[in-house]
Amino acid sequence: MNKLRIAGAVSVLLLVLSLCGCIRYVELSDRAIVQAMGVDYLPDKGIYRISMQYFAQSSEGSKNQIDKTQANVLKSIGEGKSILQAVNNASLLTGKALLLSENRIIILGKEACRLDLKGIMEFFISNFHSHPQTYFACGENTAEEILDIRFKEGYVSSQHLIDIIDNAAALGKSSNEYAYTTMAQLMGGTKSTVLPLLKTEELATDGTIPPGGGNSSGGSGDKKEQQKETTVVPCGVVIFSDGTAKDKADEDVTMGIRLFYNAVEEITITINTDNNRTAALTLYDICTEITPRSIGDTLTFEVNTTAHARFDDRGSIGEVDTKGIEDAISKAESEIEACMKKALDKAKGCRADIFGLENALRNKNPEYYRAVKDNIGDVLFSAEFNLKAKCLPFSLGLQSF
Amino acid sequence: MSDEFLNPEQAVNITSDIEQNCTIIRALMKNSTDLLMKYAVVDKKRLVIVTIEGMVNKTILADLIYRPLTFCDISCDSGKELLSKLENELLAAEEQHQIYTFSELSRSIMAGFAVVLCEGADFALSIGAQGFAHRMISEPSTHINLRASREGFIEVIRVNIAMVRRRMKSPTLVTNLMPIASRSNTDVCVCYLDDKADKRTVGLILDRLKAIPLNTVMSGAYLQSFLEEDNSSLFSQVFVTERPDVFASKLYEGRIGIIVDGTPFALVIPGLFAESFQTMDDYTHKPFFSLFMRTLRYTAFILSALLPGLYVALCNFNPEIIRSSLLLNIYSSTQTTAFPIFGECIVMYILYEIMREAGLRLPRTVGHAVSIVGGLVIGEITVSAGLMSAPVVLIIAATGLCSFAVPDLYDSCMFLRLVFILAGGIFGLFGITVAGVILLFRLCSKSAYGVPYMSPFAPIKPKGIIRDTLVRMGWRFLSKSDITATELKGNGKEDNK
Amino acid sequence: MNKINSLQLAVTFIITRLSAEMLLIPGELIKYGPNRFYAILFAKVIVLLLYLPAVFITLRFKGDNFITATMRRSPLLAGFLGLLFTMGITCIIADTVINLQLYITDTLLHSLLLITGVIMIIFAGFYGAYKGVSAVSRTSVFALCFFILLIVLIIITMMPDMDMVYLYPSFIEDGEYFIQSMTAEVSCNSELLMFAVLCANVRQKPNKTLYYLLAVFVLLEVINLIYNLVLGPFLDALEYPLYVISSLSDIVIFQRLDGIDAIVWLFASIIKISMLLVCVKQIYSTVTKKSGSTMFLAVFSLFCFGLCMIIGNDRIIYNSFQKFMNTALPIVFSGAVIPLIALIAGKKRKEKKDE
Repeated sequence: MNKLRIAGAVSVLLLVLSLCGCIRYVELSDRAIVQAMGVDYLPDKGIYRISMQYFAQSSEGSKNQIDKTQANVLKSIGEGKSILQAVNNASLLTGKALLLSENRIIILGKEACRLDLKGIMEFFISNFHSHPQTYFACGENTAEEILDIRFKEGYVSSQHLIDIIDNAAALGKSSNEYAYTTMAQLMGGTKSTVLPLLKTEELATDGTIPPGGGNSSGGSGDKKEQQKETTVVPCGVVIFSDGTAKDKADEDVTMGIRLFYNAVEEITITINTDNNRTAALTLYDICTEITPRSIGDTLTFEVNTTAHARFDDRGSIGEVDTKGIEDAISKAESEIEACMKKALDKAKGCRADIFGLENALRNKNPEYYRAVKDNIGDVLFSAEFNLKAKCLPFSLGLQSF
Repeated sequence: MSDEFLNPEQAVNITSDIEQNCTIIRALMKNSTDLLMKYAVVDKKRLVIVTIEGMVNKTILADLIYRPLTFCDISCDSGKELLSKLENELLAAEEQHQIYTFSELSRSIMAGFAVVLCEGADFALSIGAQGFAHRMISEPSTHINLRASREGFIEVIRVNIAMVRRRMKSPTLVTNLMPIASRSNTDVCVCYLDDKADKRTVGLILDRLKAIPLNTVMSGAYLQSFLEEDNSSLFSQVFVTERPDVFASKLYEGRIGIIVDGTPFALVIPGLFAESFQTMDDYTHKPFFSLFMRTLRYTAFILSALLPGLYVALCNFNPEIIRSSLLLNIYSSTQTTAFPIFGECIVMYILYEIMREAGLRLPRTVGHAVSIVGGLVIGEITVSAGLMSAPVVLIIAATGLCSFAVPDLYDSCMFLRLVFILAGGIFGLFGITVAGVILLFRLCSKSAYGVPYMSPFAPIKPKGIIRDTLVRMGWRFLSKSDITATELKGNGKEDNK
Repeated sequence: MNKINSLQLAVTFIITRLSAEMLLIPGELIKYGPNRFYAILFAKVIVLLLYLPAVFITLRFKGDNFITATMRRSPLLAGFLGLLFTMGITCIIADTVINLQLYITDTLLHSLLLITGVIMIIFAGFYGAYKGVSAVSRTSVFALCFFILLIVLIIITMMPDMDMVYLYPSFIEDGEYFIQSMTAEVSCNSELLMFAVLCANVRQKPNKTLYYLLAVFVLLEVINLIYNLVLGPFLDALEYPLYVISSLSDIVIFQRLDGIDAIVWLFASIIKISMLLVCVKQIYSTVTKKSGSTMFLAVFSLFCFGLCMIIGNDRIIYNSFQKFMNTALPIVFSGAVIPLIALIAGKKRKEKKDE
């Protein structure tokens, strides 16, 4: 029995050793850890151009940690007739196998936005080692220009881009949906979604963005131009319908879209009060409920938005000025309604269901949805909308409440 | 010649001729220098007191034997009568009995008895006068606790039995002393609580002890492999303890304890996997603290076995699982190292084990030098020189630290670590999982005298788990009911394979 | 004969069924919407009915399984039924091994060759079967603990990303998907076969094991709920939805749980393969009346290896095989029809004797 056991153990050992060669792996040090990717499309040549920022440990020595004091990323570019080919070609410059799991942002250049978004996203998501919590964003410039800028903030450059998007989204000025949520939206009847829009801005000498925005950097040709300090700023969203980019939405419209989607944490509204003074309200705990009602063939969406309001700047409103407060609240409500109306008009213009109208109809009126689901786009955008905003003033700002 | 005298089955009897007896004894002991034979004459009859030097207490010997013999005034007709009178009237030792064969005689003198032979008597008188030098009771070197008893077993079996008895003053505590090993004649004591232990298991253990074919037994570990049901296994089904309090509490759970003369480590059967994670301190602290400490120990064990393998597997095959900033730090550290991560882990693992082994057996003064070499040279210089990456050194060091949290399983852990490094390095997480499942199959198939080794986790006994395995309930709860080893058998019907 | 208690067997069955959730149901049969909630419910009712012949056999023949019961009456018929039954089990083993290998290749280890994956999986399964039914059923306790830990971690970490908007109450799609989904659900219940054999190993009344269906039902509904709430319509595009959800879960120590998810599923599937091999071993022992069957087990494992290589190497054969397995025919035939035949045969024999 012992002999049998020894023979068994030896044969298992031999088997394992013989199987060693069957598994190929890449050492971590032989990988290029991709941090951000840009997808550009060159319509005249009909090819994709992929730009990548990948991590580069700049300091020497094996025990050194990440050097956060400098932009520790390198850039690589590749072109190809398909995204896969372009990615493979981009890896030729790195000389290493690509590791896509750390890639947290994929920027689509202005031409790439016109392509089928789902197709591009599927490429990245179908790789199980890619992260589904990747952000997709659009660029007003080419993706390459945006990725040319290497930030020193964050532990790697792309971290700053993500922080910019997150912060803008929290304030209702951009969108920050993960790839899988965007894919879920694209699986809807109208294949609609929104992606954050980024653009490059030149910084003023004091490090601020000049009023009205600086000139967008004009590509990567001129060395002097490149030396100018530029940054990336969020500037609204791009609306996608039927899988491709249809229109841009500025910050106001973006705010309306985000309000529809219950995705705004807090927004600030400034209103004019008497004596040419201004008051500022912060709206928080914002909640929008969309209720579809069908009477015969007419479909109406009741959109009720409620929010708590806090006066962070009272302006001329006194502590016991009930009328002044009511007026201010009323103006804030009108502003929200106007903002949402703008967003609605934009969405109708693009025929994009970016508010989750289909979900609302399916959840609350499944019978009706079943009847119209093959023609959902037409039904949604021929519907009536009743927008109502309600703000509830809270006592934090005004002691008299 | 000596073999036939020593063999109890051939049983050569003591004769009434004292000279012949003395000659036989000398021949039996090969004229050993530590054999002492003191002649005396009482009532005109020659006596000889046979002892082994160093095995008897000279004061006891003088008080109990020499002095009474010197001043006695006995008149007897025969040697037999003299010995009987000495036994019944004159000598009042705690242990004394008549012996009739040379094998008994030799065993007695070697156990520290003084044997009195008398001319004309065909038997001898064995008188307990043991007094060999031994270590005093001190704090155990392993299983050190904060608030539990400070006493540990010592090398003398009778002292150890007394320590157990002191903690379990119950008439149901049975101690069954027996010699094993034909040459060393080592005393072994099988202890159990008559009303708790499974009688079938007790019988089985006694049979196995009697059948042990060893000539010498120097430590309890010699017996361990004969008492285990699966000798080739990594994990032992025999629990080893140096603490009499742990030993006594195990007896209360229906286990059977074995104390071996000459070693401070007692054996407890059956030993289960979960018991390696229990300490006496668990019972002296509050239950929530015990839960926390036990959870830590389980975590330490898992980390100790898995961490290096997991590190290699994740870095080489699935780096996406590692947190971004950590991954980038690891990436930075591997850029200029000489070996691939797999190789680094293997080399560092071997270096660590060599360091540990070297430090363990060296004199303390040299041990410090080893610590300096290990800590500074291997830890610091290899990293600075770019031979090893800092994370690997940290991983191996952390693994070593974790393995000390569960000292009972150190040996198993050490081997498993190597297995998982190989599995993780060759096949990644897939290899680790397959190796882990095979290990679990093996562990779960083991039974110790009918009690599943992984009990109460598998087969699952929720009551056992929350009572005193993962969770240690409060004493009020524990006092309501007991779980004995017999109950963990699952009605005693579940057999292994 | 090795005896285990009904709770142990129930735990093993839960693990067996859960392993199928990831591997055996092809991605296209897990779709967004409420249909699958109902499909799971109906499938469990159907499975409960399919258990009836095996249950009747144990009740009628005092704890015997179908093969022992038939063996007493007609060894020839027992051999024939055993052969048919073994064929059913072989199909399930091959299906599980190939799907597991594909799953591992898609997720954990892209460079894993078919031969390497199959060898290692079958070897681990063989080792479990060699160690016996007690070892496998005890190991399944650990697998279940890992699984529950994984699900709890996923729920905790994904709670903020769950969107109730994705839940809608009633059928909107046509019924075709419902039927397909329900059939696939039934086809996953290979425990039916295991029960038919292992009911003889249960110490208490084997029927108690069937409470596992309730636990499996709850767990599957919870998993399905997570699919719907997190992924919404994106679910339709995914092959391994729970793997994707795991990759979204960040538990501080690990950035994503997908590797852990794959480990748990691999663990569960090896247990399932081991248990199926145990069943084959037991049938062989009963029919041939030999106690030592390790050599047979090794030969049978090698046969399974060969079969997996043939099916796994050819995409066309694999697809046809997969379609066949999804019809639930092997499960229904081996798990319910064969025990039914054994039951009827036993009854007729008894009637003849009575006459």
